[in-house]
Amino acid sequence: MEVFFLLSSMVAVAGAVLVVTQRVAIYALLGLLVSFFGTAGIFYALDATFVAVSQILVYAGALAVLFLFVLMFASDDPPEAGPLVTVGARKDFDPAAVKPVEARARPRLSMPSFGAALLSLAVLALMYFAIYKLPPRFGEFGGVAPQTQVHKTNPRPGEPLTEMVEFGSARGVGYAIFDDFPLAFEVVSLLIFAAILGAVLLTRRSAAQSRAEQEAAAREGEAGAEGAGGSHA
Amino acid sequence: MVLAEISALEVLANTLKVLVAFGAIMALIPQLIWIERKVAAWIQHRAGPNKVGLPRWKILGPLAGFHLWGLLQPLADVVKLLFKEDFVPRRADKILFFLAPALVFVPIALAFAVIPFGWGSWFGQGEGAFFVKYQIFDISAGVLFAFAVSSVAVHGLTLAGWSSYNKYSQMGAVRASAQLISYEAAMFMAVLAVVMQAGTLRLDEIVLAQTQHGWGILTQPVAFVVFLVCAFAETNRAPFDFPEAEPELIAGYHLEYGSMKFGLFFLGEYFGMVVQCSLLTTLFLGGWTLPGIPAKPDNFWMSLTGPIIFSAKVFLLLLLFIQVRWTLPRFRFDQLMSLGWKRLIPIALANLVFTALLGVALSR
Repeated sequence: MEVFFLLSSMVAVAGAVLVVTQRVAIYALLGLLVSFFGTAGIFYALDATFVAVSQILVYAGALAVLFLFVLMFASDDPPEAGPLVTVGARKDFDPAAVKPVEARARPRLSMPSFGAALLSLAVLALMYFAIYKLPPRFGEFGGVAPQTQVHKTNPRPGEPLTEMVEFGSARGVGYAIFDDFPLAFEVVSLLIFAAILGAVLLTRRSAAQSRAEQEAAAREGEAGAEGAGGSHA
Repeated sequence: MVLAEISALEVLANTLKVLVAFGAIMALIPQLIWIERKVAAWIQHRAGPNKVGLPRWKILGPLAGFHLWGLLQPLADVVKLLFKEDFVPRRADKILFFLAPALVFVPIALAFAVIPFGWGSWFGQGEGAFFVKYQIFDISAGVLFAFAVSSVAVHGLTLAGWSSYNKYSQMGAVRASAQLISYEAAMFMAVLAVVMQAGTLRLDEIVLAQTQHGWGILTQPVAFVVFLVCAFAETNRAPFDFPEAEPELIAGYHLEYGSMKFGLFFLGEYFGMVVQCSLLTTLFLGGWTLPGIPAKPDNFWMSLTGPIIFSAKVFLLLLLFIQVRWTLPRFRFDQLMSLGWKRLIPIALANLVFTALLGVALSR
């Protein structure tokens, strides 16, 4: 299993490297796909089959398809303004042939990249402490408990109050989410809610704009039709 | 690791199982194409393929030149496909153009791995005895695995369309991904009701639960209908064959493909049909079981009834798929979308809530 774990990790890292180095968006997406499968392999090596399969289902099956769907709509014509917009660009597309709008060279270590590095480190530290502070029954790296004891949420009279669930199985994940970390789960759902709200807000604004444009066009059209009708009569 | 405890014989038996299951499907597909063409011909008052048969060799005796009802037509088609020019458009993305057919076929074929086509049988005696399950990959989240890997196949379709550098191909690719996103949600919800009823994600346990509570088609009729409609969309077959709609897109995502690369798409479509029919059989038609025949047979010869019953059920469903394709006209694309989002998803969701409420009410 350790060999399998190492292999999956290497695949995941290789995919991640592809994501950040490929300039053609579709290749980056394929790298992401490889990385998802590698991560699923890591979960499988840890005996968490349910999590592994969910990883493929949610990320490789649904999320990446959505990304791909968006990339299909992205134009592959060389953009007139702005350098290095290579969404959907072919290999024979030469970025050097496109005139950069911003001729001034940026300093290598700009404020944004410094901030991004800092933020990444902070998230890494946060993740480390989150994993470090996990209850001991979630196991440590290398030694995963095959079964864990949980308190039944809804025990019937006469039945034992606890039961054993497999680590990483559907029951195990269910207990982890709704019994051990309900607060974290709710906070995450709040985050998704905020994201949905943001998306709605963005599209609503553009919808209102396009409606105004449509109305303007319709008014013009009506005026034109009336004019045409008048001349015909 | 317990690898050392597994005997060589057991490894051999399990390898054989994989080869037989995969080989059986691959051998079925040419006949399936022949059946599809014959059924289409009958429906349209034609004769269908009836000429390609045995060669006129003297060694065959009286059988030489026998037409064999055109059964060898698929063989001739495959040979033709193999010898065709392997054409790649000049502006195509070469790597993805080659990769896409494999990306379609492999995930679909993988999905069959978790489907139980029988209970299994003990081999050997005493110490060295081992149990061979009639299921290639026994995983605790079997239902999820089947849907997870088959949903990856859409990447292949989309990349095929994109890498061809052809507007029609690209349209087919966009349609494929839009269609898959729309129909998978309803499909999952339909399956979730079945899973909730059986209380397990293992496909073999779902089959065994059906032997006790009745087949899924009787206990979950709504889920069955939703799943069936989604299965047509999932396999890209009429009335939902939009990614390759001939009058609109010429051939859709595989427009620029020829030779065996096209053959692989074709193979993937039929393999997908077999997988979806197998899933339907497993989830709703009692899998390898039949009332009156033991679901867990205790000797080898009885255990062979499982695969036979399973194949018969799958075959009947395949005939239904073929008949529907040649009976119903193609929808319009917006009709497909509104059917998916406005009808099937609410129905499947209501079915899910109803099942949950019923489950809670019955368990009190």
